[in-house]
Amino acid sequence: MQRGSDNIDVLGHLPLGGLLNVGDMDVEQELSRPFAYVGRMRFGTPGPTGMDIVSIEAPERPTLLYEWRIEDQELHTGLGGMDVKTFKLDGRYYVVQSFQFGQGGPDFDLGAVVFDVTGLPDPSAVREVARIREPLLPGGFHNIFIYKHSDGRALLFTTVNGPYAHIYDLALIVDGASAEDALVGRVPIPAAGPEASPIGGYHDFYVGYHPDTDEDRFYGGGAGGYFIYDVTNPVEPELRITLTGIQGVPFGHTFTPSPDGRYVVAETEYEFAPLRIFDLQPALDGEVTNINRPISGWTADFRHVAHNHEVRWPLVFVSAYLDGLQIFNLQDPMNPVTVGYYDTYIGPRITAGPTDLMGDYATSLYNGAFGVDVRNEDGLILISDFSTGFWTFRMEGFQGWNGEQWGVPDISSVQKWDEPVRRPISE
Amino acid sequence: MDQRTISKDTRSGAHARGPNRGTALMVFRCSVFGLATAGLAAAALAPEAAAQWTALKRGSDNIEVVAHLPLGGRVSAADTDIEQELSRPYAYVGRISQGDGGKGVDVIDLSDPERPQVLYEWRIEDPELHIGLGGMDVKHFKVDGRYYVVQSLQFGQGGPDSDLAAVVLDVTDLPDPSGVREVARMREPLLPGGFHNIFVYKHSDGRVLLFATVSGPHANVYDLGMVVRGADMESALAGRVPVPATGESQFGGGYHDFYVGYHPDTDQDRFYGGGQGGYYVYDVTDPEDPELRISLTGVQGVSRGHTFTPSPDGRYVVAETEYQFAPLRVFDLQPALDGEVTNVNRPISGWTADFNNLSHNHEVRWPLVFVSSYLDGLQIFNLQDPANPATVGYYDTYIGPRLTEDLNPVLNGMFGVDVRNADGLIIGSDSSTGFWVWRMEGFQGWNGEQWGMPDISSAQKWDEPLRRPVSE
Repeated sequence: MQRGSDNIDVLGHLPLGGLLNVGDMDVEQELSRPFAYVGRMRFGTPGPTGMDIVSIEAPERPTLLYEWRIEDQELHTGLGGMDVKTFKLDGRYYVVQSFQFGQGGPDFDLGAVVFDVTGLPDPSAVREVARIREPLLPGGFHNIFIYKHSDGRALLFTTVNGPYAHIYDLALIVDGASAEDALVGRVPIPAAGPEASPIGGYHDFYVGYHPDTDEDRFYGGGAGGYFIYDVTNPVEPELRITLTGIQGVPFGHTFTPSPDGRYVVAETEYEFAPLRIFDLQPALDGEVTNINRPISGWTADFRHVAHNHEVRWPLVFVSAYLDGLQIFNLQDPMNPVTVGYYDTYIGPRITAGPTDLMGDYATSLYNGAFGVDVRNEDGLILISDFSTGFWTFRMEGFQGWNGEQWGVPDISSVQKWDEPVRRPISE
Repeated sequence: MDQRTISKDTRSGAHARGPNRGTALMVFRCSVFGLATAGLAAAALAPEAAAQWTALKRGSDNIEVVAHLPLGGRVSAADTDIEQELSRPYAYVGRISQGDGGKGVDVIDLSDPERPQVLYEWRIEDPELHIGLGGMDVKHFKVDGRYYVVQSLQFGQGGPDSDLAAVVLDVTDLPDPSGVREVARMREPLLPGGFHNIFVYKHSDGRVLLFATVSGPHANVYDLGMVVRGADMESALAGRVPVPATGESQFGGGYHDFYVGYHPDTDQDRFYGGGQGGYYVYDVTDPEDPELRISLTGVQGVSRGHTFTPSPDGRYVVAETEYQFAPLRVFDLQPALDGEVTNVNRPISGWTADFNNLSHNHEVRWPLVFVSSYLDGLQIFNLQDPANPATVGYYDTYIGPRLTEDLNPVLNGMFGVDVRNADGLIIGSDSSTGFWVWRMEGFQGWNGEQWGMPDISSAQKWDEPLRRPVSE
């Protein structure tokens, strides 16, 4: 009867289908383009695979505008549509939907599909413009991140089945270049090996401008822990900081810095693992190159695991699987405090199906809130839930986010496509 | 308490624990609830209270502090053990030196539990020359009518006695401290670094065996009867229990800790060890030829096992791994006991007093588990529903600061715990605040058969004929 804190207002809820059929999500940041995108995957369950486009013109009544589905769905094995991100180039709007299809069916080499969605809300104007394939590294892209580089390019960072992340120039992709020609760099993972399975060396990443060093910085989680690279020159990434040898972290997952790059929120994906908070200052000061001890941790329930997160300093918005939407405050980084929540999933834990699919990697924790995003302009909060679909929320007192209002650079996962390359200056 | 009103687990009570001590919303919500339904809250929300001690109210209402005996400076006490016979009211505390203080063992008189007294201090000679931890684990035993204590020792290279692993004291004449006599020093010159943990087990063949960690990919097994009679280590070595997964190791050895107990269903003596790669259950009926029965490897978040203790019937195990944020994991071994699998890698539940900290050693007195929970002090949880452990009592022995940068910040507070089965006396050794004695309301002793279980725990029955309890 009471699924959330009093300060969270549920605006809209759009169920999208059956059990375990929803992946990550992304929301466009311009208020004039009220569209969100939801990856459709199959976590060992029957159902569609592709991407849904949701109109949030009325956030109280989100409506399904368009469903893109891979052709011959019944022939495709594997997860399907996992991560999804938007970008803008030359005045046109695009979406990249990552895919992971298995061996034994078509498109094992398909990493992502790129759509031109400029014509929304007219669904008939949605146009597929490219398929990114990696036949030499089959298995698809588990996670992606799109970054407007300080050199002006829109770059797609992707996981691949190898000990590195790939970087593609999206302008070349939409112009019809092959994946090989559009590949502008690779970010290596220092610790590779068997633990890099099942999805390659990295699992997830974030890329952001780092004002203090005037560098574009890559924050990746993967085999051995977490790694920060200078990717100002994507052709030649330079390792800056490692976070390895952390007790309880053989494999890093989602990894997101504060806007100034001092603190990082780090996930590892297993039951009982909290989000760990690290202070990188000793490494930023050049005193050490490796950090292996968190300064604090946060969990909604220690028996579960929190998943993706979006940092809007000092708030961290978390899609916390079985615990739904969770929001905690990092103003005192040593003592994170929960400041809001809403449980999007109150059903049972999942059964053995996904275990069949993922082996021992999967556990019964993987259900509930999968992805989260925040629209900075007005503070709209969105969740994609594995099994209950798409949700929109508002939090009391959170009417938008601009880092400078909090004394930090205005840097988050949100890219500023139309602004000139700008280098905020921190204190 | 959990933030929701709908539980995902089978029992709503299981959700009534708030792992996040710093959750502002949660504290508010719990307070309101507590005011509104104080009577109900006292019973149903006991687990939640575990995370809400204050300096003025350090424990749950059902825990009585019988006594507290400070023993010295910061981080100077290690593990503890209590003799089980009421006629021998003695406890032992290993003394380490990560700060100031001596290295050895303290003998404590509990004839008046409300006023424990240090009867005797054994200290290594030339303490200023000895580097390393010092006295870590301690266990008592009885052979041929005489009572002994074995104190494990760990000294570092660069000083004397890096090969010294344990000292054995004859304590039969207690409470007369002058009657305490050193009868043996156990050395392992080929595996220097000492014994980090030990366990003494009365084997079904009648021998009293010492299981010890060593700086190698195995645990050593010694015949303590031979040791006290003056045999050399090589002669007293009765076997070795290998650790299947070797490689990178801490504390110089493959195992970190273990428990040994009789397993009625198979008529085997079983070794439960935590170490490199996870946890392992061996049949040690023939200590010279241990046979691996069950492994628990590939457990997410567990690259190295630590304390590992089974239920009296061997079905469930409580498993620790030693890092901040790690809960105690509870595994159900039934699929392996039934022969369906040989490896179990998924816990059925977990328990922690505070997810920010770390729990350490534990003593299982089914369905209760008594835990020395480092920064969270004494904690007691109930495993009657193994999928939903519930905290049923606590007392925080340490309310000081975390350690500084030179040590793992969560490794302070209550180190060791033990329970006297005859009367339910609970004792604890706190790294920095010393020796504690408690009673828990309604816990007046323990005998497994009263709980429908074999009467098997870490407490050995020295004087009873070999008896093989039969489980259902």
